Amino acid sequence: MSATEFTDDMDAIRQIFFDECDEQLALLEEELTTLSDEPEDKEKINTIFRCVHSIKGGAAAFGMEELVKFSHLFESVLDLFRSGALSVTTESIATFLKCKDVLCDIVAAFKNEGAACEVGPDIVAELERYPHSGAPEPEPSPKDVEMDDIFGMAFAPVQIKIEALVDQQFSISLRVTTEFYERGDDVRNILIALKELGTLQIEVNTDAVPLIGDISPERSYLTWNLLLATQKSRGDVEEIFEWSGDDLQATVTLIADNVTDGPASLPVAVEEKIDLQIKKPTERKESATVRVDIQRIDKLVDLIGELVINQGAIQSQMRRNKVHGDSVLGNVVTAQEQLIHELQENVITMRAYPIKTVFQKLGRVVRETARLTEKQVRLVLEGEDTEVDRSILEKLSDPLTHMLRNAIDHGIESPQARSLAGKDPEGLLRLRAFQRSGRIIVEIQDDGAGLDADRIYEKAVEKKIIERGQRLDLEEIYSLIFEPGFSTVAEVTDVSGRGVGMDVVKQSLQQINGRIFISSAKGKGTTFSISLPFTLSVIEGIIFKAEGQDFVIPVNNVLETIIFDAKKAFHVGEGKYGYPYRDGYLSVIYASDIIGTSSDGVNQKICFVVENENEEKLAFIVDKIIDHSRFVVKNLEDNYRKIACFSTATILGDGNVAFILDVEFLFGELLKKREGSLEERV
Amino acid sequence: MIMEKALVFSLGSQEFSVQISAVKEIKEWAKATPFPAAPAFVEGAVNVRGSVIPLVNMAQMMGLSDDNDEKKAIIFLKDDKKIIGFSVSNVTDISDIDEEDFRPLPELSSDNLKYYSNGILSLGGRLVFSVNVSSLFEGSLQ
Repeated sequence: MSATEFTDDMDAIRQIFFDECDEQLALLEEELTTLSDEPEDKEKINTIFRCVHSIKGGAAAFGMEELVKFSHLFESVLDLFRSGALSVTTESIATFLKCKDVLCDIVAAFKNEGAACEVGPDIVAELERYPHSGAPEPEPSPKDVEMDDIFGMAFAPVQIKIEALVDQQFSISLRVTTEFYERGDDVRNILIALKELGTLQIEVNTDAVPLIGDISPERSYLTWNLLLATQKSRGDVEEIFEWSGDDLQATVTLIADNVTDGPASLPVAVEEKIDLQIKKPTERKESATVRVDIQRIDKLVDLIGELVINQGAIQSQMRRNKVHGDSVLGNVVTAQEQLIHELQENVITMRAYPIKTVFQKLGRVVRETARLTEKQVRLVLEGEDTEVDRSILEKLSDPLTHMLRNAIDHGIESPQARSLAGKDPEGLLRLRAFQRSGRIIVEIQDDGAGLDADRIYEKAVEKKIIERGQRLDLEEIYSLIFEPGFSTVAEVTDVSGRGVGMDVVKQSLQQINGRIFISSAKGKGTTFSISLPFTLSVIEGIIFKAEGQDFVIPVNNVLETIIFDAKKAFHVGEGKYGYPYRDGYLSVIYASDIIGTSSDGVNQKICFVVENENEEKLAFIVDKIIDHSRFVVKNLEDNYRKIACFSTATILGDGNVAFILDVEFLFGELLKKREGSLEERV
Repeated sequence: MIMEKALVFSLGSQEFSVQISAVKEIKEWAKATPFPAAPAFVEGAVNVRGSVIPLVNMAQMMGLSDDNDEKKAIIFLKDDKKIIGFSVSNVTDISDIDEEDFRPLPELSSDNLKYYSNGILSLGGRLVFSVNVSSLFEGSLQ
């Protein structure tokens, strides 16, 4: 790799820095929010300090001055706590949290290509109130940039900017002969000697290494490109090489004197450090993870999807050729199926992230909302390690933000009102995630005033969402808050209540197949439960035949499958039928109604009892059930457009496409039929 | 001066062409899974190596014929985002197109033809309608 390529990679390196920043900020948030439980815990303060320090280090390498300045100020205040000069109080934790938010803002500003970000003078003043916190100078003391300190951290950029200010930069290319090694010498000795002179970046050039079959183990193939920042003269540097005589060829070039350029032009990152073991460039104890571009994993998921389809094709060919399942081939194919299934589940979990990544951002939302509404709120997070597919996680952040704001703005009462009601003036907001029967449940629970059913009803009448006198049970009244244009607050507040609230929440949750439920007790609080699928790329479904064509219905919408007895269906209106089910009657939708063909109905033998998220039921009549299996979901919109009734499709074992039924559409169809009958009456 | 290459194909007895850069793939015609409630010219959806792709009867969409001409091939065309398959009677050849071969359509041409075609190519005496790929996509996604 050449130095120019390094410069081209600068964007990628910046990206890594920002990723690391996000990690450090998340860790910071986590440690800060738990600090109040154990204010004496030295390890916590140390971790917090390291996070800030690490961000500062990276920022310095990229010349992000505002970030360096602020993190330095923050760090020097933290140092007072670390050294034990001050002890942690709730007030100082509040300050730290504010600082963390400011850091977030600055990082975000740099991420958006240097959009300007002003650090509020308030927070700077707040920090400067701490004794001896020092002037807000960006230059850290030499102690701050000790190499060991940096290598202990996740992101180990070199403080080029700071050290290079007084240094000369030498570019050195190093080549050793085979004799060099034969004499028992080692390049490491040279490199160690060079490192004593200043800051050294080492790049190994492996271009000359032949294929493994051609390698002669005693020959020397490697060359090194070094970048040395030192205060020593060229003579001092060259002296090191003279030691090894002709067996070592070194060219030393002075590339910069008193480096003042932005460090962005320097090949900063991919270097190997001499005092690390050369084979292990990063040693992070806390988690052994590999950073992989998410698109590669997506591609993997797609490929395994195709593997599943091919597997189906093999099995259908076997059936066609009458190969028995218990033959040798049959056993191999079954074992293969099992393996592919496992592979698929594993890769899908690779795409899963702990929900923590979303939860942690919400701490800030809660703090800011509480401040704006002048309420006292404590946020408790539970089950942050619950894992959710990335595609779902991405779409979860906005609805949750909105719901938390709502919970504080509308749910939790003012401290005075809470005291009067005999509650703790500090409201409790609990955010909990857990798995239940193959779905992820996220609960938002507040101990506020609870939903006021009468007020909601009045408001809905006023907004013409319902008609006065309409009879609704409690749950139906609660779900009115999800209607478009509904907002119970008389005046629009800064925080929530622009009337685009809960209906947007519901819609965005529906996009990821999420459902939402409310339970509430007056004076005690409200709980919103969101139920989410674990992944969007595979569904479990029943494949059925209707009008000679194969379709798939998601199994979690099918309550029961019963034999359809056409004689029991009874006429309830023009083209409308009812069907007995348990001790009641269901409305009937025939598959032929939605597929758009007309049939005599003689083939209709099976009735799916279909249920939607509102626990409404209907009878869906099809010809026959073929199989129950897992299906890879393909979006129709990718290459076509939205079509009513079927938003997704899958590919069957024979290579043909089958559409996946959109259950909500069936209920929409039911509604249309019902409205049709209303018009008839008028 | 050679402008570019074009794929020449037939719908019934008439020849048409599309720019070769838009052609993703050519396959033998196969029956598609019909879309419920889609326009009549949409034959359905086909699986091409794991992607679900709509199949459109080009002749029918252009209003050239209602009855089903013989369909032997599917031409898969791509734009920036989507891939759509078009069933055609047959694929003839690939020709170099010269700017001088281009002639505007006769005034009297139907609106449909004017929408889908941007001119006539005369290729050594053969009369070939040059088809707008963007119009094909717009028409298909109606």
